[in-house]
Amino acid sequence: MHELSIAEEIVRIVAKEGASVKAVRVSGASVSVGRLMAVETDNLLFCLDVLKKSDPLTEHTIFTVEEEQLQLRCKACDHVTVTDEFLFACEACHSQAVDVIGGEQLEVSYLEVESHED
Amino acid sequence: MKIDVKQSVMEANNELAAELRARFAERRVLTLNMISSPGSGKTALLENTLLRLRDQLNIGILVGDVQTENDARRLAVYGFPVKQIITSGTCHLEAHMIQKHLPFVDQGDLDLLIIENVGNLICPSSYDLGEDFKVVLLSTTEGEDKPLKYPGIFRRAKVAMITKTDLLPHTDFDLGLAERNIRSIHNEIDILTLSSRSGEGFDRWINWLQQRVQEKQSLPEAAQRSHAEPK
Repeated sequence: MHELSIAEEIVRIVAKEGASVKAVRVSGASVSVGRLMAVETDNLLFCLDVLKKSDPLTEHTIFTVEEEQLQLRCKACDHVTVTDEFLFACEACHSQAVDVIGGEQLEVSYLEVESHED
Repeated sequence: MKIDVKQSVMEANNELAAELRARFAERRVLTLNMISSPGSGKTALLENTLLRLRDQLNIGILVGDVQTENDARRLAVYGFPVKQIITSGTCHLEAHMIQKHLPFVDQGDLDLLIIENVGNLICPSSYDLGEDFKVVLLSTTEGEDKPLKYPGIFRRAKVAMITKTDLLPHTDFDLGLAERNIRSIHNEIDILTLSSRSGEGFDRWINWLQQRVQEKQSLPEAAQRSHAEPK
């Protein structure tokens, strides 16, 4: 259940970034979650919906989660494999010597904010 | 109005972990973060490790649990400094929980700091604690497909230990299949098999540990910082 700790940090970042652009409210926030981070999307959204109510800026924020696929660069042939499965091998030459170059992201990507001028 | 943020949710933890890593490097303390399911034998492995290294290394132990100080009591009898971290519900250790115990790390003139994480294969794998290596345990009473179910930790660990090998005759555990599954996630990982009850396989593990401690003590500080968080 690390989704709760992660959701707390996301709400904190969204409120801080919203305040820094003097938003009156944050209407939407997009979170990017890598496949290797083992974060359960529904669980995370549930936690976010509970925690967002603690701050007037985020109270009505609609959160969306985008999954970042696993991306591997082959050390032998340099090919980049993008996959939804946890297969740590190059799809071109089948070498298992691969570096993970995507799928470990966990970030707040962007916000939709309303300001006084809107 | 849309604004780009691109801020890592783990940033606060990762910054703190980087500070811890620099501190451990400065003090030449090899730091391990041990992760497994509850009941895979982390504490038994540590008991035997402490027993065998009693006269050779200075070891400090931080042991994380959701409740009770039982594990710290078990480990304290070997004469090394042990601190229990009770997380009161949190399913993993975070860098700030380790930071609180830095005075404990500093006072001991340690060669090796072992952090026994909360028993859980998912959450602890995402939190950097400033360690040199993550060590993952899988026991012969679990499924051989655990590496496939929890790829994150098997990918990030430097070494995988298959424990409770004394029970192999009594289980259907297929050692070869377990090793193949681990390698399919992380081909370059070190795999060690051992039993804390019979002592089988411990020489290799102790040897592995001593080698890593020696490397840590002979590496220049700058080189140590750069090998943070192997992917």
